Amino acid sequence: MNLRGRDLHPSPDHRGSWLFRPGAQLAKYSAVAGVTTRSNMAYLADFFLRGIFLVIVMFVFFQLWRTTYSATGEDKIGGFSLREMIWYLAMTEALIGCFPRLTVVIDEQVKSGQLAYYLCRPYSYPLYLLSTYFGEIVVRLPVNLLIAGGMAFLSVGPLPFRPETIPGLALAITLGFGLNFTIAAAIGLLAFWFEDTGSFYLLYSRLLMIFGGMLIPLDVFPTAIRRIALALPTNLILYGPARLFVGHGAGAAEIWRLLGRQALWLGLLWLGLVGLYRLGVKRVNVQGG
Amino acid sequence: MSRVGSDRNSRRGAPSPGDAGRRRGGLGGPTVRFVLAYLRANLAMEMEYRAAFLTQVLSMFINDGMWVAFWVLYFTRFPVVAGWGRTDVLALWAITATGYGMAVGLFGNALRLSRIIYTGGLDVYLTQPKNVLLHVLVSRTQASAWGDVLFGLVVFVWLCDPTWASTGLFLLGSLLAAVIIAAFFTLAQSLAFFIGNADTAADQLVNALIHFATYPTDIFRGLTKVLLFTALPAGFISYMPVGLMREADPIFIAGATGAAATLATAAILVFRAGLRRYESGNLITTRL
Amino acid sequence: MPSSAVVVRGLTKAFRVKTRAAGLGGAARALFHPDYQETLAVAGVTFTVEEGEALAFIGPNGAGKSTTIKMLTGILHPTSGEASVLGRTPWRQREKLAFDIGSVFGQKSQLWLHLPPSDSFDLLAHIYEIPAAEFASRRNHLVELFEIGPFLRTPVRKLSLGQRMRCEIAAALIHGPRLIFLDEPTIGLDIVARQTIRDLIRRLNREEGVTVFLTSHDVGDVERLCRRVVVVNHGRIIYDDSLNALKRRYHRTKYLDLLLDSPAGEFACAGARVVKAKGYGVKLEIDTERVRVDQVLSRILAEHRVLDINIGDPPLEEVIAEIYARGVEGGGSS
Repeated sequence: MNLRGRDLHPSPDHRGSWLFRPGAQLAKYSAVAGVTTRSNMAYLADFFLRGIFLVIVMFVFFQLWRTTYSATGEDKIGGFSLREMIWYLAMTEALIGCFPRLTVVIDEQVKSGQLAYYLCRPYSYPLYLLSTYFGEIVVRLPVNLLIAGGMAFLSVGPLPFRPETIPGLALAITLGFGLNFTIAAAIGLLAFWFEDTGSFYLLYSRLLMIFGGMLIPLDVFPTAIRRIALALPTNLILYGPARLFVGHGAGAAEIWRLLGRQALWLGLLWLGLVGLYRLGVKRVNVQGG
Repeated sequence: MSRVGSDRNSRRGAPSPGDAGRRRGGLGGPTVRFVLAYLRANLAMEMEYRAAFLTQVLSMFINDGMWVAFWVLYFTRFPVVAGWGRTDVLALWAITATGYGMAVGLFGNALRLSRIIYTGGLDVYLTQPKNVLLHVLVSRTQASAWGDVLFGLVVFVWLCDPTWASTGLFLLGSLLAAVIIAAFFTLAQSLAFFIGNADTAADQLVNALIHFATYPTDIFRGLTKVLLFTALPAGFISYMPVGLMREADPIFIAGATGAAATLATAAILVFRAGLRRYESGNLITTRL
Repeated sequence: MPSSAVVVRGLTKAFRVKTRAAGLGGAARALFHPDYQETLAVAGVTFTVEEGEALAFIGPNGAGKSTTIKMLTGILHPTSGEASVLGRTPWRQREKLAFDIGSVFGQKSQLWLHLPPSDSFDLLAHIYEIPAAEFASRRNHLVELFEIGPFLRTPVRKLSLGQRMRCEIAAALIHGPRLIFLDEPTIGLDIVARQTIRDLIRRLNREEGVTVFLTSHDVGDVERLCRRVVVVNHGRIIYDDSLNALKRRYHRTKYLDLLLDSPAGEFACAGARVVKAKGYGVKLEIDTERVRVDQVLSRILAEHRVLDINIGDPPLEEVIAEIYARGVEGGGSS
C-alpha cells in the first residue's frame, strides 16, 4: 500500500479552498466541533457540580429582587415585572456560565508551543478555535439552562413564553456567543505580545457584567449610562438575547434589528480578530533552539 | 475576591522555610516572628515577578470595583431597601474585601489546602518543627488578595466618611471577617483528609460563603437567615455594616467574636483529626 | 531523477528580546525606553534535502534546530533568506503546504486526551480532506503497521507513552505526507518502544519513500534512521555529510579492550593511554594518527598473553559531542 500522497490527490490543487470545496471546509470545522463536544462530555459531571454556584447565584438574586420590588411597591422596574426580571437573570447567568476559558486555552497553546501543531495543519487557527468554542458550548448550555431555569421556575413560576420567538431567539443567542468569541479570542491572541492576558479578560468580563446587562437589565440604568451601554457591542451578547427571551422587543422588526446589529458587529470584530491573528503569527517567538 | 479556581502561581514550586522554621511551636513571640518572616519572604517572591504581581492586584481591584459600581447604581435607583442604604453596602464591601484580603494574603495556601493534602504535599511540613496547619497556610501568599486589601481600604477611606471611631470599628470588623473566612476555608479544604479530591466541593462552599457575605443580610429571611448565622456564617460578616458600624450592637459584636472563635477552634480541631488520618496512612488519596 | 524536497538558502532568524535592568528603576525605565537585545538564533543556514532522504538535524540545545524547523513548517517567518519545501515557500503558503507534510513534536500531543485515537484519526480525515474510502484503507494500513489495533478505542490518556507515540506518529501520517518532521519522537520511551518506533520510521523511509527530517538528542535514533547528518550550533551548520563519512572522519580513535593472563602493570606508549585497568583487564584508547594499532598490540604481546580482545570505534555520541564542542577539523559543511 503506497503512502505517496502525490499520486492520490486530484489536480489542480483545490484542497483548502472555500471556493471550490466549501463542503470539505465545512466538514473540517464541524468535525472539530463534534470532537470537542464529545471530549467535553467527559466533564459533564464537573459542569453540573459547578452548577451549584449557579443555584446560589439565582437564589440570592431572587431574594434581592423580591425584597426590592416589595420595598419600592412597584409592579415593574425598568419595564420588567419580578417574574420577567428573574427569568431575565436566569438567561444571562446561563449564557455567561457557558463561556469556555478561551483566553486560558490560547495562552497555554501559545506559551507551551502546542501552537506548532495547529499551525502545521491546513486550517485557519481562528476558525479552529471557533469550532472548539461552540463544541463546548453545546454541552454546557443545556446544563446551565436547566439549572438556572429550574431555579427561576421554583422562585417565580413559569414564564409566559411565545414559541414563535424561538427561531429569532436561537439565532440571537448564537450570534451573541459569536460576538463574545471574537472579543475573547482577540484578548487571548494578545498572548503573542503579553505575558498575562488574564487581566485583560477580567476587565472585559467585568465590563460585560455591567454594560452587558448581566447583573441588571440596561433599562434600569440611568439614561446617560444606558446610552453608553447601548452603543457598545457588549449589550448584544447577553442583554439582547435575554431581553428577547422574556418577551421584550419581540416584534418582528425589533428582532431583525437586533440580529442585524449583532451580525454587523460580528463581521467587524471578526475582521479585527483575523488581522490581529496575522500580525501575531508573524511575531511567534520560539523557546529553545 | 473572585470565584476560586484558577491557580496562576502553580509554577512557583515548593516552600522554603529557612531560618524561621527552627524554633519550637506555640503562640507567642517566636510564632509571630515566624509568620512575619514568611510574609516578608512571600511578598519578596511575588515582587520578583513584579509585573505579574501588579496586574493581579489591579485585576482584583477592578473586579471588586465592578461590584461596587453595581451597588452604587442599584442604590441610586433604590435608595433604601430592607433598611439598607448606599453607605451600608459600601461599608460591607470595604470590610469583606479587607477581611478576605488579609485572610488570604497571610494564609495564601488556604485556597490550595485540599490539593496539598491529597497530593501528599503535607509531608514536607510534617518534617519541620512547626505547627503544621500554621506552617502550611503561611507558606504562600495570594497576590490578588492584596488587591482586595487595597480596595477595601480605599473604599473605606474615600467613600465611608471615616472617623476615629468608625475606623476602629472597621478594623475590628475586618479582623473578625478575616478570622471567619480563614477558618471556614480551612474547614472546607480539610474535607480532603476525608474524601480525597475535595477541590470542587471546597470551591463551591468557599464561593458560597463569599457570595453571601457580599449581599445585604436583610434581603434574606427565615430559614436562609438562620443558615447564614450557623452553617454558612456569612451573616456575621455581611451584617457588620449595621450591627457593628452603624449600631455598635454589643450582642452582635459578641456573637461575631464568638463565631470567629468557634470557627477557628473547629478548624484547628478538624485539621488535627484529619492530620492523624494522614499520618496513619489511612487517606483515600492519590499520593503522587 | 529525485527532486529536492527541501531547499534552504541563507535562512536567518533574529529575535529581539527585551532586556531590563534589575530593580524598580529598571522596570520603570523598561516601560518607557525598552532596551532590545538581538539574538541570532539562525545565522544563514543553507542546505538541500532530496526526496526520500532520511536526514538527522542535530545540535546542542539552543543551537537553532527548532527555530529552523519552525521556519520550514511555516510557523515562523524568517528575518531573511529563502526556503522551499515541496516546491512551496512555507511561511507564505503554510496551509497549502500543510496538506503534504506531517509533524510529530515529541513533547507535545496532537491527540485528544479524553477520546480514543480513532476519533482523532477521523477528525484528521476531515481536516486533510481525505475521501472516505482512501482514508479507510490508509488508516487500516497504518493501524496494522503500527500495531495499534488493540487500543484503538481506548482513551488516549489511558495509554502508555510508547502506545501513545505510535498513535501520534500514525496520526501524523494519516494524510500520506511526502515529508515528515520528527522532533524528539522517542523522548521518554523505554528501550523496546524506542526500537519499535525507530524501525517503523525506517520502514516508512526505506520502503515507502517518505522523506524524514529528524531532530533528536538520542544518538541511537540518528544511527538507526538516518543516512545523512547535519550538525547545527550557534545558528550555523557546522557539519553536513553522510553518517558514514562522519564516522570515518573520527576513526582516528580506536578502543582496545583486552583480557590478559597477568596484570597489565605500567603501560606507557606514545599515542595510547589506559582508560581503565582492573585486575587482568585493560582498556586502551589509541590515537591512530600517532601510533598504529598493530604497534600497540605487539608491545603488549611482547609482555603478556592475550586471552580476549575487542577493537572498537568510539561511540557516535562522543563523536557528536566533540563536534558540538570543538567544531569540525578541516571543516565539514558542504
